[in-house]
Amino acid sequence: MSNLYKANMRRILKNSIFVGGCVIAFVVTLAFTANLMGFTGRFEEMGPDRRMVFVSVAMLAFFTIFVPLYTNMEYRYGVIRNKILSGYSQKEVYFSHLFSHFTALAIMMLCYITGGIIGGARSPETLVISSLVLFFALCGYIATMMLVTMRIIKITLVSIFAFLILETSYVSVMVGNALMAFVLKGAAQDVGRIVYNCFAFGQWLVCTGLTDDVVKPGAFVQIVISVAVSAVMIGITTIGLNKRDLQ
Amino acid sequence: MFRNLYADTRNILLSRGFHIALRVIAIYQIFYFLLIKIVFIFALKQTMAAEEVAFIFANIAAFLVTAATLYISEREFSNGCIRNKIISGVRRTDAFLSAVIGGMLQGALYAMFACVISTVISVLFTGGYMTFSPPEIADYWLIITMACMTIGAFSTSLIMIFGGSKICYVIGLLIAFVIKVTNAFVLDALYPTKGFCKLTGTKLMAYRFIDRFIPYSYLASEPHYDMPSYLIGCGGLLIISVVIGLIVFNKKELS
Amino acid sequence: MEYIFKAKGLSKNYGKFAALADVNMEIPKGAIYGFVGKNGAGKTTLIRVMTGLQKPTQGTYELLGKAVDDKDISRARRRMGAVVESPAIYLDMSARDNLIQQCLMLGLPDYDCVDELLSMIGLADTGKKKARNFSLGMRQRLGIGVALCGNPDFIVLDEPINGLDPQGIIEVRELILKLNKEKGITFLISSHILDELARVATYYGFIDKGHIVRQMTSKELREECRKSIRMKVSDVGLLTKVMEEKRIDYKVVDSNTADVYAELNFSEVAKDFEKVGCTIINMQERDESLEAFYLSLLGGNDNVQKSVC
Repeated sequence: MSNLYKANMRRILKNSIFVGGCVIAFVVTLAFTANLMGFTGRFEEMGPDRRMVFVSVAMLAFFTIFVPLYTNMEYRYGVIRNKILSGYSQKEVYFSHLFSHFTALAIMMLCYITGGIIGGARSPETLVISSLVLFFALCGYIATMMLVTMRIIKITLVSIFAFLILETSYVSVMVGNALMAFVLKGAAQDVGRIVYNCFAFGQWLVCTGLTDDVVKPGAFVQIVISVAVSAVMIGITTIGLNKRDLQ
Repeated sequence: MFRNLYADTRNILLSRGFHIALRVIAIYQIFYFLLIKIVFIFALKQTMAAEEVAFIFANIAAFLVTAATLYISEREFSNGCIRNKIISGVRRTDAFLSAVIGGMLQGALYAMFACVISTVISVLFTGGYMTFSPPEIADYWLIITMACMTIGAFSTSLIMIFGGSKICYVIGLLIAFVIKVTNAFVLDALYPTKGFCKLTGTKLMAYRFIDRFIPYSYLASEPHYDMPSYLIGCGGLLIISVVIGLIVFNKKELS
Repeated sequence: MEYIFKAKGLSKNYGKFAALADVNMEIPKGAIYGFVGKNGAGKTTLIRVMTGLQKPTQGTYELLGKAVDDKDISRARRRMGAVVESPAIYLDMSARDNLIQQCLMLGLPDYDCVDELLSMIGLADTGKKKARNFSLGMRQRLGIGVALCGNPDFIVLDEPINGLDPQGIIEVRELILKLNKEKGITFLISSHILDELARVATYYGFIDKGHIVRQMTSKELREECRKSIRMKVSDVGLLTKVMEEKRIDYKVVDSNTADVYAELNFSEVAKDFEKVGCTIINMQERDESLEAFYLSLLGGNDNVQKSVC
């Protein structure tokens, strides 16, 4: 599988969309953090550290597009056949893609953090803790995207389901804000807090500081939730994967 | 042109994507109604007004119309059917306009179907409309329908422009999502829950423009502008989509 | 005899439809196995099962000495290459990059073979041109090149000359023959172009409606397709006597019928048969081309066909 992983990484690093994404991640983070566009009002009051976290939402949108389009090429071009023919199982193909996407995320986050530091972010909490929380949250999100991509072959449906997940995350978190603030109490609120942080969107909102304290479970809990989400998504994706017939 | 339009329309009405979209609309509305009804019965212990559930289709309209038109129109390129049309002598302009009209038809049909489901639920299972008068209800649905038709046309134009490349699979959905998120900020800034709108100058103009003249925004809140504004917004986006789409599609290399 | 592939009772069902039914098949090592059948006969299904893309519903097979349920079969597959239906290549990469990618996947220590492969498949001049800009024939060649990465022992080619120009067809044919002769690579080639297959194949397998109808060597096939005169006589024993005396090649079909493989002077033959007391009941010229043999075996035309050219 290490060979598959190396082959995938080679392709990703040569992919113009990914390279462009990393450049944009750096430039936009730098511009936003340093407030080069001259935003006033709420954005100005945020300060460089919170602005840096705020702009990281773009990575969520990026991987919503990149993961399905890139991985679905396996089926569109039929290249997965070469891998199966070479003796790899479908699970190995899946895991090689998953880990290469995680690596791609790590590379993009490095560009993002570098842009943030140059833009003026200084808080260790932002640079280390929030970045770590966002990294694991996005890993969970990528695992969810991979579930859609590996299980659905038609690219149109993959794209629709990927954006459906994104929309659902957004709406759930918006509704969750209201429920957590006004409706849920006691044990229900604790459950609500965990469910809220199952969404990468929710964790991002918590890191930006735009939410009430009631939805914040702490960085360690957020990371545990993200790891759990990743594990569940990986488990669901791999059920019966090797038994699936390929055309 | 009309033969092509008939063929495309028939294709849409018989396609699986169209029927699935209708089922999704029905299931979504029924499911949402049941959820809210349970909250009203057990938590709030009061009669539910029709307004709580009548216009929920607007929440998913942009995504649904974009996804459905993507699924149905993209086949033209993936199956190579657009090539057959051009080879058979159909003019590119006719092929494009027929596809866009098909997109508008889809938008209209989805909105009308949602209206029927909503009316049935409202009349049979709720306490009736408390704040909306019949003309206001009709206006709201008319605006939703117009917005859906415009979004259907816009989404189809994007597919015809970018068809054959990877970007056509994501661009419509991405625009719908970004505008949805932007609308939340725009509405919050223009109509804050506490206090008054603090926007001034260019920012105020830009936010107002988005709220008043972008059809995606018509689905984000109840109507609060005059009908000519909505007509201008829908008509404007339609004309821009068609003009730019025709120019690009007529010059596009089809593989 | 050593076999690269052996199938026993192999079946593959898609719902109620049996794409493969109780297939028994052997591909000898070092052979160029021509796999022939009508559209929808099950050729591609069998190839998909053989290459591990799909699992059989019933039956077993052995590939490169490993059984299908053996844990090491995946290692065995690394000694195999295939082009199944359409070439599986990255359209957003150049020919060189595609081959490097395959080398990486196979865990090869270096990319030294890439230049040689590019020359072999005739794509050495493509430079950085992306595969999406290749013609169908070029993509087909690249698919073959990808299958050749890693010096496989067994290569499966499903319709390899689809889309190739005449020059390309000759080059692929010569490549197959060269690799088979010099490196002992075993080939399984599925093709509809029988004349082309006849130039390379050493073994044949005929499949129809999911069943292997017949397997034979090329020699046996040539025997079946040889030009002959089928003679129906009163006593085939007397016929054999005459043929032995004249040293004419023949084959007894049944107690009254024999195929004679020679140009005959009919008036002389008639006299010779009259001398020994043998009556000729019927004589028919047979010239079965591979196409005619295929049609008679798999259905389509029961009559003996004269050769087209």
